[in-house]
Amino acid sequence: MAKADSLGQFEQLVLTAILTLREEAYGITIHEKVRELAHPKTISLGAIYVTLDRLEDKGMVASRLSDPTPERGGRAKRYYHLEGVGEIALQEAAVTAKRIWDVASEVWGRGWGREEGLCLPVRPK
Amino acid sequence: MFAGPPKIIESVVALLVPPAAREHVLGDLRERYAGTRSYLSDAVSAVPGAIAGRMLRITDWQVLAMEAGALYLSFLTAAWATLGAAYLCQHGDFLRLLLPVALALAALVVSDVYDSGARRTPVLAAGLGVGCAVALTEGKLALPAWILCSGGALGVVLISTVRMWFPPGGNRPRGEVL
Repeated sequence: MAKADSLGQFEQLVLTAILTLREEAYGITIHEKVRELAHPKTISLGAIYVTLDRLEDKGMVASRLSDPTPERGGRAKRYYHLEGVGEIALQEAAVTAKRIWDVASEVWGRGWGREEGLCLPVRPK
Repeated sequence: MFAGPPKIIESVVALLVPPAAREHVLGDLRERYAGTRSYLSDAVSAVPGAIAGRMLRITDWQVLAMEAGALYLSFLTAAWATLGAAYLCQHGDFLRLLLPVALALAALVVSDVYDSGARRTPVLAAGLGVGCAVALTEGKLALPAWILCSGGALGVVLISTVRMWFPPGGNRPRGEVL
């Protein structure tokens, strides 16, 4: 099986956004989804472009230009989709995150992290 | 009819975005348009990322190191021939030679980022870098204009040779992730 590069946290967010948006993954929608996933962190549109370029360079995503549309001033959208290597890398990252979650839940209790917002661990007595 | 930013502002933003990313970046900014102020704010947030993304994507760091070596060798040869080794050692000119090299390299990288597929002109980029260095001839880091000009000319020849073997940007073979 192909061995994928390890991913940074921001790359994981961008790949997850592309995965969930499916056919509708382009600059603006990816930015909105990543902002939602990274809440409450502020994410700039420029950071999305840098990461998409890097992921495309690594062969984890591929892109294509759509037809121009009038609401974009006659400009095309660049749609992104996951490539096999990107999907494998994201799966590996998700498995690792799940392991961390399981261990953290055992130590800090099952109820940890359920509430939205800042989650401070309850130290075991 | 869809509202859009003032033409002049959109043209300035278009100039700043590298040609390879211009179509979709300008489209994204236009789609999010909700007034001139928000457009400018979006542009300020998006354009540096588009430039950095392109720069990281097309820059081959090994070739850039070779180009840096070629440029330094050019200026060193020019300085050596003009001033002699003893003078260079006494006045610390070995380090001062790094200034035109850094400026010429920066100009080369920027020219690659904004290259639109036309015939590349390393002469222009290296010339710009050397020009900037000449403009600094009044400063503490100044080098004689003759060294900058002859070193720059030799540098253009060497850079052109390096680029013939290792073409910049998308023409370079890229490593596979697998």
